[in-house]
Amino acid sequence: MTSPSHTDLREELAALAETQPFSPDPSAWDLGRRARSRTRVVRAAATLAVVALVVGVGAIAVRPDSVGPAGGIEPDGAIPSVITTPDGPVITDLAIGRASVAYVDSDGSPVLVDAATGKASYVDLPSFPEPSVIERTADLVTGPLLAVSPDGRRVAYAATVAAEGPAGQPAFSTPWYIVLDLTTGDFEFVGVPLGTGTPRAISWTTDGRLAIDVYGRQTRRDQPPSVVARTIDVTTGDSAASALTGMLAPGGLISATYPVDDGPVQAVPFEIAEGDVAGRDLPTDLYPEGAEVAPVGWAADDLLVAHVDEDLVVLTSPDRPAAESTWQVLVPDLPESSGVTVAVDLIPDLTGDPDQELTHDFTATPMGDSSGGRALYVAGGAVVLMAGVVLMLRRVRT
Amino acid sequence: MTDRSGFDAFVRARGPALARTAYLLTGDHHLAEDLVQAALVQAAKHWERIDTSPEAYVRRTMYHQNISWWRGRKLAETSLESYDAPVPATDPTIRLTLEQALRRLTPRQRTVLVLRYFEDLTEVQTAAELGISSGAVKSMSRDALRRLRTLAPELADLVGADT
Repeated sequence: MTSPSHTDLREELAALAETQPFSPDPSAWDLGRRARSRTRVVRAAATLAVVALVVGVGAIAVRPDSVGPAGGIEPDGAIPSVITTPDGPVITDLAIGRASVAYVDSDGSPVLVDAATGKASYVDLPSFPEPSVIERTADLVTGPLLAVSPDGRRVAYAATVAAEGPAGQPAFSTPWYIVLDLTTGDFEFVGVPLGTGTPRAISWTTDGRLAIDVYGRQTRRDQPPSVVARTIDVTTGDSAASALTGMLAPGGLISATYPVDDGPVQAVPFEIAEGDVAGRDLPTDLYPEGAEVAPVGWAADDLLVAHVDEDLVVLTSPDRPAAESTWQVLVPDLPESSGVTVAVDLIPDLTGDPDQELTHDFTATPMGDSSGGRALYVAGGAVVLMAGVVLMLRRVRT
Repeated sequence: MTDRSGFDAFVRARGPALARTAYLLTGDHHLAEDLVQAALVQAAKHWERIDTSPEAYVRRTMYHQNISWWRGRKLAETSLESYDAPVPATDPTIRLTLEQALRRLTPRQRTVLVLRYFEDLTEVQTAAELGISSGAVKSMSRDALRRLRTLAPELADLVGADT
C-alpha cells in the first residue's frame, strides 16, 4: 500500500475548507463569561456540599460497624452516579472482574465501566464490529450493540463484519455472537440461530440467556419483514422462539420494546404476553413534549431501567397499579452512545424511600474502602478545618 | 489590552481559520459554525486560565467537541447534498467526491485525517491533541484512508492506492 500524497491531499482539503464562508463573531465572550459566573455560583455551593460531606463522613466514623458504600449498595461494585467518557488507554486485558455499565460510544468504540472503581475505559473486544460496520448497520439496529449481563460478569455482542451484497453494494453479516467472561478474560463463540442474521438488538435475560430481536422471513415484497425474537442458551447454543420482542422481564410475561425511530414518544412502550402493547406514560411535567426512550434492563420483575432522553431512569411497568408507580432518575446526563446497558443486579431493591441511594459516587469514596479508619482522619481534618474557620472569624471581628 | 479586547482581536484574526478547520471536521457548514462558537464560549469562560495559546486551546476543544457531537453529526451525514456552492476548483469532481467521502468517515477518523493532512501534525502531535496513543492515530489514519479508497476509488491518486 502506498502513502497518500500529503501535498495533494492537503491542497484538496484546503480548497474544501475554503468553502466555509462563516466567520465567528466575538459574541461568544458574553456567553462564556455568563457561563463562568454560573460555574462560580455552583462551585460555592459545591464547597458547602463538600463541608457537609466531610461532616457526614465524620459521622460515619463514629458508627460501630461500617455498612457498604452508598448506604449498603452491593459491596462488590455499584452503578456509578456519574457515567463518564473514557480518558485512559484502551484495555486489552479484559479480566476486569465486573462491569457496571457497557456502551458503544459515538465513534463506535466499546466502553466498559469497572463496577469496583466506576472508571470508564475503552476495551479491545475480540471481533467487535469495526466502526464502519456499525455505521453500515445503523438503520437496522434498534437496541444495544454491547450487552452487559445482569451480574456484570459477562458481555455479549454480535461479531458483525462487512460483506458485499448481491449487486456489489455494501452489506454486512453476522457469523456468530461472542460472550466474553470479564472475570477470566476468556470468550466463547455462540452460533447464530438458524435462519437469523444480524440482530436488531441484543440483551440478557435475567436467567442468563441472550435475547435477540431479528428480522423474520419476508412474506411480501412491498413490506419489510416482521421482527421476531429469540432467546439463546449461551452454554449450549440452543435457541428458542420468544413470544415477545424487546427486553424480556423476569418470567418473560412482559417486555420493554425498542424504539422504532429516533423521535420522542409520550409513553414507555411495552409488549405483554397476549400480544398486546401497553405504555407507561411519561411524567408530563418532566417531558411535556415527550422523550426518546430505550429500554436498558430489568432491575426487578416490574422495575425497568430505561434511557429517557439523556438520563437513566428506573420506572415501574404498566402492569403495576398507578398508586405504586415509580419514576426515579438513576444516573443523569449519560455520555452520547448508540445504546447503553447496565448490570441491573447492582441496583439495590427499592425501599420506597425517595432519598435511597441507588448509585455510588466514586469520586467521593472509593468502592470497597473501609470507611472506619479513613473517615476518622477525615473527621479529624473536619474538626481542624472548623477550628480554622472559627479562628479566622475571630480575627476578622478583632 | 483588556481580556475582552484580546478575545475580540483573537476571534477577528483567527476566526476564519478556525471555521475552515471546523468545516473539515464536521463536514457540515452549520455544524461548523456551532462547533467554533461552542469552542469560543469555552475559551471565553476560561480565558484567564488558558496557559497555552488561545488558538491551541480552541482547536483542541473543537477536536474533542466534534468527536462527542454524534447525534447532530449523524443527522448531518444523511444530508450529503445540503450545501451546493463549492468554490471553483481545478477538479471539482474530485473535490465533491472527497467532500462526500469525508462525511462518511466516523468523526474520529475524520478528525485524525484533518489533523494529519490538513493541520500537518505528526502522529505523535495528533495523539497528544486527541489524548490517544500514536498507534491508535496510525491505525485510525490507515483505516480512514482505506475507507476513502473504498468509498471513492477515483480518489486513489489523492489518498494512495493499494498495491
